[in-house]
Amino acid sequence: MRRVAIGLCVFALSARAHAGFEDSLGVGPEAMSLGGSFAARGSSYASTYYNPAGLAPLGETGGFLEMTAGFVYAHPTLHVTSATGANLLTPAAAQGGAPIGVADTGGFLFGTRFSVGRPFKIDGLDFGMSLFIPGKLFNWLDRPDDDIQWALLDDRMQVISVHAGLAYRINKFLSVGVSLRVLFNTQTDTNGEVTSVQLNPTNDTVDTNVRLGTDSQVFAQVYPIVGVLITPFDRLRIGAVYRNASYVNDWGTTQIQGVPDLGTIGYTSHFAHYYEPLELTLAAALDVTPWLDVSADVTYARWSDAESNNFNFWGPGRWGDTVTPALGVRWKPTSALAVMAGYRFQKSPVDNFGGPSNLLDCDRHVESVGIDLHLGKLVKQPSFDLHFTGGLQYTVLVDKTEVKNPQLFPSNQLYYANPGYPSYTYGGHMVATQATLEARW
Amino acid sequence: MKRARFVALCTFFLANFSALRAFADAGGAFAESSRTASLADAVTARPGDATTVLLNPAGLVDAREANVSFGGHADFLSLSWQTLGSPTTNDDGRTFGGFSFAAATPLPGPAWARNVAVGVALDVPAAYLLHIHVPVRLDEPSSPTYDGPPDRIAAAFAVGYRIIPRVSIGVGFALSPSLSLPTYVTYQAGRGPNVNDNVEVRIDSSLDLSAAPFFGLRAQPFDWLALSIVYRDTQASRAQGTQTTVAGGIVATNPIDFFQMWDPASVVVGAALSPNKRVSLSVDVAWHKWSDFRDAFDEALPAPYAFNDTVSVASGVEVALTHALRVRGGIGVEPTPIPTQSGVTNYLGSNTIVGALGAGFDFRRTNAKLPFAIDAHVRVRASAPQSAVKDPNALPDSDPSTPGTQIDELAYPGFRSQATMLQLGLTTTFYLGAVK
Repeated sequence: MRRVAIGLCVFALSARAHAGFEDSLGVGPEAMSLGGSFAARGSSYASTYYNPAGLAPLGETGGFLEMTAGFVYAHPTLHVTSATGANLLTPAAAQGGAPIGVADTGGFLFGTRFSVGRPFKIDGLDFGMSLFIPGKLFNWLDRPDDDIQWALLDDRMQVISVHAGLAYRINKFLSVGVSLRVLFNTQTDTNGEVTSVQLNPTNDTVDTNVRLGTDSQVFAQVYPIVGVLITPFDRLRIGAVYRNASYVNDWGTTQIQGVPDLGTIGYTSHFAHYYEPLELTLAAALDVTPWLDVSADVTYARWSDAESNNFNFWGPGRWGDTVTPALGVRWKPTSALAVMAGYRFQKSPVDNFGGPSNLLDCDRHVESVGIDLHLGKLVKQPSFDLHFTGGLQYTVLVDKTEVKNPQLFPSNQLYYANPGYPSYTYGGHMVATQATLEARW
Repeated sequence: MKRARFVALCTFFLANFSALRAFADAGGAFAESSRTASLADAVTARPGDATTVLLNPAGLVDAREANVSFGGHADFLSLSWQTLGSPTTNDDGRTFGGFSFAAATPLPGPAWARNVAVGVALDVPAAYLLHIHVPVRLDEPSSPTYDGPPDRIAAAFAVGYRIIPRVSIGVGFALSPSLSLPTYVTYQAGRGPNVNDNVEVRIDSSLDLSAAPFFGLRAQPFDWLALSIVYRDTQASRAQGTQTTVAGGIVATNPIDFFQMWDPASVVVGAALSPNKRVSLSVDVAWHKWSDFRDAFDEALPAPYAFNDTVSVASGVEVALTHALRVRGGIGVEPTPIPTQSGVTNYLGSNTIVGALGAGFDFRRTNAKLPFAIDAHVRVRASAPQSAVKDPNALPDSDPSTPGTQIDELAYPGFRSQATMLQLGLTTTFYLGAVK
């Protein structure tokens, strides 16, 4: 049994692959409505994620301040069906079993952008920040790889997201910007003392009480996003963005004192969460007419570096790089109203190949629409610079079937015991909306 | 075999608990702006700005244009304690610091909208975003003032509204997160090729947010007199969860219940006087409900060791030497909420005097008319020596099954402590009122 104890210590070394709400829902209703095609656009707090150079686009002079507040909501409807047609379940931590699925996402979105160059009479030196605060600052699920679980949906949209950036417009052709994705590493050192031990002969169990203390520290760690925005002529903008891979590092030590015969036992643990791959985005936006503009983005994501919940416990090979195209169009029928639409196709980076792991993820078709209303112009007070922006997104998760291959299992026992044996089909859809009010001074 | 099971059980338990993650909340200690700190925090009745969102949200309406502030502070803490009769002095002093960001603006648009102002403030410690220390032993000496509160990120949001020309109100909330951590661990023999792989750990961890509200009112019946009253609710964080372990015949369920009070509920009454255009005085009297304090294991402190409510007083003076330059000074008295530590706990702290000096230079009032201002301050917090002698009758036997006089107390037979803190700070404010 001592080997069991050692095994438990080692098992605590686990990591999880996750991405943020940014590429599932978009940062703000404008970017959502445009299908996430935003790297060649700008003038928004959302540029802190899509392209920091967009914080200082062409055409803005003097001091200004934008403040934005709104909400985000997403409702996924998912299914996982076994070969016999039964709904598959996955154990929850507290109950030991709950219907498979993903909770709704709800949260608040805040953004700001303002000129920091104005006091020094420097045009085009602008700062921006975006902040998504979900109902839970984070909601992490740690599961064995062979538990059936939505690898990139279950809790990826339930994590606080912070981006802050600075951009400078060098001349009328070129803006550059850098922003920082802020993540929060944790270190938890736990100490305990055994206070009592009782044997329960009735149930053949051991009851123990341990007095625990902790020293928990949270550190900020930043990951850079770098972008350029080129404006070769007034109607065309070209954007290029690099986003560094990022994740939450979660480690600690544990010691317990007073263990009979053993004295002190302990171990070091290491988790990771909220994995975002390295990404490169190229984009272009064109003002076709004063009332119509279009944009297109292509994003390469190096998902092949990703790790699963438990460092690819059942072997490598389930992650692949992806290329995601996105398109957006905006039409302004009046000076007070803009209508937006967008589409992107997100290839899933996950393929289980019939092996023991059961990490669910589907290819996604993402369609979106939205509006932007200038409320001041609507009430014929143009100086009242207040915008309402709303977006609606519908995501189709294309059905996928996983058939277990016994040759990929260490033993027949594990093959038959796998929760996904002999096969299952999964997919679904997700409806999401965002709405904000933005005031400009 | 039973012993081996026990070892496994303990390790299972600890493996689960190792996933304990951060708590976070709002309202950073010692993170005030230089203007506020140099006035010893006696600002609730003075005209507000972005950096006084939490101190009195009603003052937000005094922001005539959008403005943002960035600040930083460095703190040097001398904190030591010594067991009576021991030649060893335990030095818990340290250096820390932090940064702050605040923004406030009236709403744009028609005149009625400009009577409404919104503000946000964020304090970020330099070393940690959050540091929680819960010792295994309840008698480990700790300072409720200096150990945890300076090491937490804090955020506050508020709205102010000018009801009539001389009266404004404000309301806001500070976010206080708490951790939920239900954990379920099983051992499945034969699951993997080796024993390490036979353990299945399932953890649902979430950091839930709750809002601690605060309210404020500021009235200026005369040009030379302003009055204020502010209420701030308790800010606290918890960590809770049930650790369930199933390994063969072993089933263990262990509850976790940690508690950290950041700030007690407070009521502040303030007044500000302006005898002439160059000089202003202010006084704040604050009642703090420290009696709600609970220990780190979320247990109420028994009488007579429960914390006492306190009433603190602070005052500040500001003198305009020129159009652009102002100098400030402040002094405050903070009675300690900590009762005589003759029992099992060893909380460090005693009555404290706060003194501060500062200056501000507003570049808008110079010939260059640059839209920014710089403020700086130095602040000292000096505590009286604390002394405690343990009462053996108030200490439990280290082995409850063998009554007698077995004392296992870290600070027995008593202790002395003293704390002094020096702070240097700088705040820069940018005014962004120009039309885009």
